[in-house]
Amino acid sequence: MTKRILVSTRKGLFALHRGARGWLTKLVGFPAENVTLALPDSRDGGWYAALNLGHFGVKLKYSPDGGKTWEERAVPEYPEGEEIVTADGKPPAPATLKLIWALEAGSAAQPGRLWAGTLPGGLFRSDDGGKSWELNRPLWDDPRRKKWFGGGADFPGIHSLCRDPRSDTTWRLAVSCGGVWITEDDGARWKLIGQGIFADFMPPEQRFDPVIQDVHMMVQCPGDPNGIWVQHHNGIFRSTDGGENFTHVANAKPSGFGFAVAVHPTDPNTAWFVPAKKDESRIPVDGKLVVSRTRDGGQTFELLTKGLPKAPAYDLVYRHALAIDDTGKLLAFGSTTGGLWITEDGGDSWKLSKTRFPPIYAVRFA
Amino acid sequence: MTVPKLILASSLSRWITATPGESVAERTFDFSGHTVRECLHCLFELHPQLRSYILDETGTIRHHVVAYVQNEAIDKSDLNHALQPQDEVFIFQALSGG
Repeated sequence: MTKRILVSTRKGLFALHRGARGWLTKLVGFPAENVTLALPDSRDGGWYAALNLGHFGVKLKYSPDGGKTWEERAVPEYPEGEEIVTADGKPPAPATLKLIWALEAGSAAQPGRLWAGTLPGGLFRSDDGGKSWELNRPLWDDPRRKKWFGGGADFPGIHSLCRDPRSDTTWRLAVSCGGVWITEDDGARWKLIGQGIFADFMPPEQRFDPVIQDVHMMVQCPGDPNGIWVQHHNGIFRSTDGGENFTHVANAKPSGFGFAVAVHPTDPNTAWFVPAKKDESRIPVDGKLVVSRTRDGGQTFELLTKGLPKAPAYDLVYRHALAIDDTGKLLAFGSTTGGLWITEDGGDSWKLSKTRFPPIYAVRFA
Repeated sequence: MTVPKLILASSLSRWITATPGESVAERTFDFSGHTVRECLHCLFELHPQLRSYILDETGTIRHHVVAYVQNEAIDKSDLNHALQPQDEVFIFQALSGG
């Protein structure tokens, strides 16, 4: 099957496929509409697209045929009476869906199973391809959930969902701001993990509290699932024990701040980042867009610049906008200013897509 | 027999299909409802997917959607607003931003 890159943007969903002379872009859905995330489902070849229409709310669409046609699917709904309670002094507010911030498929043995992480913090499960959803009560009702709070958003949100390839019932998720959690029984019980992650910007007693950590993005190495990388508001952290414990990666260059992270499919020591100047700035350091790569578990970093623009280039890359395929050679990332760069050699060299995209929210290989 | 009309702005009628249509005109429906709720119920029977575009998950009219009856916006939570047979219910998006 032809490999495709799905690019979710502020003004539509695009798909790129590899032609003889490079990657070709096609608009495959929702021109001028705000597509925030897409999920290619390898189990049936379908594509899901999450939209945030603003006036008309959050929507989920499904295409069984590579974007030729689309069907309406349901979105997660918070049960009546549920409230968002946060630890940052905001008054409780009715829980209503603000954004589908993470969308992942179950295993091949679980057709139709989807998990959705949302703003304002609810985790939802579907067993029918998004036709209906159910709030995961054990996590929502965990009293520690009320210690979460918003990072860049008004409310906390679940942005990272990692299914453990060793078990259909083991998932890890990350919350901004709410730390790293694991379930080993399909969501019946949740354990707060992520010891060692710290937030220098918090009051001293809370800096190491796992439940307040502002994880920006978490990825898990498919070939060695104990290898987990976290791009956190306060820096980069790495775990070699499945997320129970993390160590700070202090050598990140040119900064430890950023949103996106990708891990190699089989080598947990190899990861890519798109750093930025922290934290209220959120622009490339010195106005120069670079990708950083470590191949030794974070001891050293290379700055990858071949094919990337010279300074000044103020492209910022959001958390879901850096993707890697299952070979570990092909990566792509998209920026808030509509640049999309693709590498076919693990980041040694990049090529800019000829398409000037709308602001890019998410990039994924299909 | 005269019945209330429900007029759906083009910004909403374009979402009658899962992929938004291009250059879709506003749509007018004749619904024999006695309240805004009953007219919306008729609309949602015809086009179930429109419910989530007009109402939020608490069942009130979305923050950025308005319903006008007799040239006045109705209370978003008052879907029981009574209608006369000659009434027209305009549903359209609020003008947000500049």
